[in-house]
Amino acid sequence: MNFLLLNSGNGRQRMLQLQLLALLPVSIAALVNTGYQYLATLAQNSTLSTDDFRGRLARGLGASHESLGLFDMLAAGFAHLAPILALALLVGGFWERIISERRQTPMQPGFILVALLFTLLLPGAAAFGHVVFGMSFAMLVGRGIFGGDGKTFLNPALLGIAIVQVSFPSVADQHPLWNGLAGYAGSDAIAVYHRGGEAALSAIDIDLWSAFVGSTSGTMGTTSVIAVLLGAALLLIERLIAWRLLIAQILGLLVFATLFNLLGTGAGASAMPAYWHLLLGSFAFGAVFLACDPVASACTNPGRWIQGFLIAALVVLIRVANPTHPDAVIPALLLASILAPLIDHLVIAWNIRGRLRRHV
Amino acid sequence: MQDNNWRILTRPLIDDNPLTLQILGICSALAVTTSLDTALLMSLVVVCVLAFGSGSVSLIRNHIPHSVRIIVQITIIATLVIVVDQVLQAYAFELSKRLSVFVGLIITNCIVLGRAESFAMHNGFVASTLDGIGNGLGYSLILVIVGAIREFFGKGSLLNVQILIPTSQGGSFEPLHLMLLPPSAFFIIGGIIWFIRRKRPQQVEKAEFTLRTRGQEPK
Repeated sequence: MNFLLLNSGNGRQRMLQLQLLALLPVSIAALVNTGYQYLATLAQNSTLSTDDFRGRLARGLGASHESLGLFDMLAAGFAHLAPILALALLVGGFWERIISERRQTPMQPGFILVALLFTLLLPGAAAFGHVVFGMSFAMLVGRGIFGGDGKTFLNPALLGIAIVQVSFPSVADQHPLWNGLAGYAGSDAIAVYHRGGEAALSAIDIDLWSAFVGSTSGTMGTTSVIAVLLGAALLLIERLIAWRLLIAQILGLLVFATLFNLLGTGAGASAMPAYWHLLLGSFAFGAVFLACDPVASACTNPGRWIQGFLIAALVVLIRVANPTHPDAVIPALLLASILAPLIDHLVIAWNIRGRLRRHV
Repeated sequence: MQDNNWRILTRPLIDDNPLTLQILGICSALAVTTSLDTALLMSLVVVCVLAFGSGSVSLIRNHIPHSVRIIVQITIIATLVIVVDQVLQAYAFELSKRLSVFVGLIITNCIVLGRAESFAMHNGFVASTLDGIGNGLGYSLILVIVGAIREFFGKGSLLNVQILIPTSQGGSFEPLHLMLLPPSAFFIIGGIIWFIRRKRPQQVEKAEFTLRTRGQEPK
């Protein structure tokens, strides 16, 4: 991993550019799918009111649910994603300015990445007040108190989204157009599986292919696994994320999901096969863009394996055991991120002990 | 002498606050502050226990054998807590049910035993009682602030009087569910500590570890 990059201003800038570039496929997928979900819901039930800000913006841009072409989807997606992103950038920039002015340090551009990650983890119907609240928390606590770019021990975007999930459990439900959505705390598809298993999934037209491409409803940027894979490939080639951590998470998810299939009661999500765990919800997105945060993850090789398995175990456990957090990726990542320095410490202590014993 | 007693009473309010400077008694501060009325009642109970506990320990301080002093102190405190608990159950049953085990757990509250051990064992009755009341009030001050913030933002009410109407009842105020969960008290107490230490920099502890930046040797 390019730790040296972190120490120089230029390197930090280049790293930021690469991370933004890696998020490009996800952002495009988010535009298309959010627009598609919105228009498809409208097409099914045309009596729904579209007279809110986003509905008017989508109509103004020319999105229509009758034709449902690519342009319509992009326009409707833009009407949902762009206002949230703009607001998040504005709030992030505002706090960044205040913090850097008061501390008399140069402004750090990291808030751009934080705002983009934060936006992609929100549902398209997120209330603007919640965006301001979550982003402010992310900047004030994640950036201001826990340290800025390259120094923070928790990813600020992760903190922001966690606080929104905990503070407002069921807000997205209030919007009639997004009725299926399980609030901020997660993926609808997993909630659907909790209630009715495989049959319920196919009843709302979710199969392996649509989950892989990402035409399912959920938080904006996290549905499309193929777009996440594109971003992951770039990050892996540029060695910005640790492949061990990524592989450990995927292997761990397969192992623990299978374990629950064999030992579980078969009720709810405990019967959910490992491939659904991989494809549904925001696991893929979280594993690549949040868990592998080069600053907030374990930095020893054994530590990376341990942290990856820990994340996977927590994701499966919370998904199976707690239906109010159907997605579970955010709390799992938060816990694993907090434990990362401890894991590193233990690995290093263990290594020192081993070496001492060999060279008495 | 008068002056000295006044200082004993007021020092624990901000300058030597048991919660924000000594970081004692955090557990009960998390548990009972979801609303202002429980916070107030808990404050009252702790002030009583602290005042009578420190006073009684101080009265018999010269007769307690050194080797069993903790046991004697705990016995006195536990007796007081049981009495207070019974009184609450008799006269404020509903509130005492909401406080549940946390009245009983005052026995284990570090502030009570800490004051008995560190102050009442070495000082006279009046000073010890005042010290107990002062520490109780310092604890109460933080409890009431946290309780007020949590009830206001979590339910939109204060002392069960609805001030803002939540969206679920057709109003425009959206309750912060977070405020009803224990971690929010951590955030608020952390914020209060930050605020106090900004105003009184002498309370700031020395950093245990300084971050090294490039080209700079560690000090």
